[in-house]
Amino acid sequence: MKVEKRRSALNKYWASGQSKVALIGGPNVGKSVIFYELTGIYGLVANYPGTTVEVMRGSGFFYGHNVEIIDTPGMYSLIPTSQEEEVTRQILVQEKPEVIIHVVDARNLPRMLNLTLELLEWELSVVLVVNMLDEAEKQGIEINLKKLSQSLGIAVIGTVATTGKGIEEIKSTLARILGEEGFPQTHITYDRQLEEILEEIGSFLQGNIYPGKRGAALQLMQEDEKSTKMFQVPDNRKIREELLASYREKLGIPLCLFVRLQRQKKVDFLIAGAVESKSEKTFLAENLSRLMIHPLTGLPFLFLVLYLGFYQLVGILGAGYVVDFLDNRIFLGIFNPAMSRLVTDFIPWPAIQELLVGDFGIITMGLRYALAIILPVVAAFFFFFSLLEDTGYLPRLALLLDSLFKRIGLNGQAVIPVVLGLGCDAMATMSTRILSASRERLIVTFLLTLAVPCSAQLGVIAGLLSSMPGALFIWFLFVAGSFLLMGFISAKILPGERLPFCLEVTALRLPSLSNLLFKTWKRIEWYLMEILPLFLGASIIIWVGQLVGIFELLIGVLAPVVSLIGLPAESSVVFIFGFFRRDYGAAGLFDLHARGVILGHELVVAAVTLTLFVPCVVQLAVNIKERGLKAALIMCGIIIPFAFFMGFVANILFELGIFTI
Amino acid sequence: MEMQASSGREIAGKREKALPLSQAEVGEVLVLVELSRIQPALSCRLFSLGFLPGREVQILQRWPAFLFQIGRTQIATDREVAEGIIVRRKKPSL
Repeated sequence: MKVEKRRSALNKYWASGQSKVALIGGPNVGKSVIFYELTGIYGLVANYPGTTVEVMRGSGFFYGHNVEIIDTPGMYSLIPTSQEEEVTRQILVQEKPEVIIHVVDARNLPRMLNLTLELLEWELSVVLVVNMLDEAEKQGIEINLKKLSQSLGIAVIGTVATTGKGIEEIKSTLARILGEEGFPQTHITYDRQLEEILEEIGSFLQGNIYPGKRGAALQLMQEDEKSTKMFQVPDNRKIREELLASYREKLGIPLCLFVRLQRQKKVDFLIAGAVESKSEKTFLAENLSRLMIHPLTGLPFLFLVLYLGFYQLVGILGAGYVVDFLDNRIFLGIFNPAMSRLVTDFIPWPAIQELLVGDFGIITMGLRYALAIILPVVAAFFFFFSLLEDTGYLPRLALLLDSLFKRIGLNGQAVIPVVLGLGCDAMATMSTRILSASRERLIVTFLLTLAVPCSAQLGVIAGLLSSMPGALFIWFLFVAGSFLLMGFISAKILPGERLPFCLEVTALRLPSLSNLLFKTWKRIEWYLMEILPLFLGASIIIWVGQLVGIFELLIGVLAPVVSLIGLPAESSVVFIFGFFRRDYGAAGLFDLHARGVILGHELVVAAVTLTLFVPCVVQLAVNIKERGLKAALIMCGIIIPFAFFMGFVANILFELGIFTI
Repeated sequence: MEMQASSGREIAGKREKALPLSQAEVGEVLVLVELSRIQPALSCRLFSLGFLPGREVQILQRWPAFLFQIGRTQIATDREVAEGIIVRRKKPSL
């Protein structure tokens, strides 16, 4: 919401004298990199179909022309089949950009040019950008851009976006088109049979229709009421339905397919002589890709990825070395003592001293937890996740885990939010927008909130338990078991069918380090902007709570529950922290362990309960925003008792001697 | 729904034996005939990805999920979707 508001303010600012240009294209064609090169603003680039959920805007100044550039979510066709494609079509219809830059992957022109034709059907001013020319060349694909431009009747520019090749030509072409030259009119005609149908439908359409009568007629043929609403076609539904039904009868195939076949025929005709494909041999990347998804090698490869990513990078490097250095050396060694001295020297009031540098002080605890303990872990994870995204591993992971996810009412596509949840559950809950059904979004949100530990939690808990491999295993058993059990149950309880799984597996690619770092930095920035204030806010709440005694009261209320699961009363502090932020609680656990309050199997019980426990404040806020207050409260009502119940079970199993560590 | 109505007629019209993609072997190259029992929205997506009648499709993998190649595009689907994609063998065996 906040982001949207900021953007609309920017829009107002930009509105004066700016031309609008929209970047359109399928997922993973390099749109976002081109957007960055044109505007200097960085949107998230991802090698996964459908990750650019939000619309990015930026502006550029090309040869005297002030241009607003809109980066749209990936789309396959103007007939939307997902929320994101819907968004892109909305932008075209409502914002009416003056120029459309259609970005395509040079390796896949026969498929991608279908969308170019669709855009031309709408009589839009299209500039075609053929990206990844270098990759195409490597695969023996030769493209005669000049010929392609002639047969399509529009400007065609070849680019290698990652190196900046061709970007200048996009700028100069835009300037030329927006300037005196204007846009050349180009018209694509199909076979007579289709053209006659279009004319007949068009004669029923009155008034000024946005994409033109022919464009609207094509949309109506391919779609349904959605188009009618979108283009405000006057309601002569009966005639139209009878008309369309009669064509369907006559042609013997769905109209939507008829149109697509015609279009593909046209595309094949237009690129004949302009595109030559010489070899189709298997490449290294293709072999690696097979390895990743083969039933025998896929799982070992996944474990290798998790081991390197989570254990080595996030665990050992992030949660180990960096946290140790920042926390012990910088904060506890230098920063905190210095700030304590400074505050006690200059501020005489004990209450304020307590607020700033006390046990739960904003500086000594809030800032320290956020920057020294949580941030390094989260940053390491963000880097790891960006790597997974940019290499194209995620769709392969989706393929690999589809049948497992089917068991819990989801399909492979839900892998993405779940993996992202291992970084930050709140961010992951927002990304459930890529899932197409509300039932799936609900299940994923519930599971994220319950049983997917975020990287901050994961790092601290793994760090606490890593000295006892048995403990780590029992913790994993409980968390993974809860994930599958509750997933299975929600799939049974929630009405609705599970959705078919169908996903483009985009080519593997070697990510560029600068891209990865920039993306990691963008996510860290998001973390600092959205999460850090909450950390500090939590410190203030705890301070106020302490002053008025609510904090002690809460700890007192929770103490019997905590002792029921076999933990010392002091540990209820951790759950109170956990209420403000889940990972905050984990960090508190770290402290308790360091002070020798929680030891041995109690640590496992606490870790299990805390992992499953109530979402952090941010997660709760996101759940309410994305799923509604009622659903969010019901989830909490299930999760809190369940978390303590599992802690209780773990404790009993330890007491009975069934578990030993 | 309209997909289904038209599909029966289409199959009957073909002389070569049509089969669902889910029954083909890994490595086989087949020709797409039509989509059947697939919801309109998913059909649309499949058409956009290149699943058009007459195009060739190769099966790269069957388990844990299906993986197909059409032109330069690779698509993963589950068994249900693969069952709805009707193909015929390139050269009908005698």
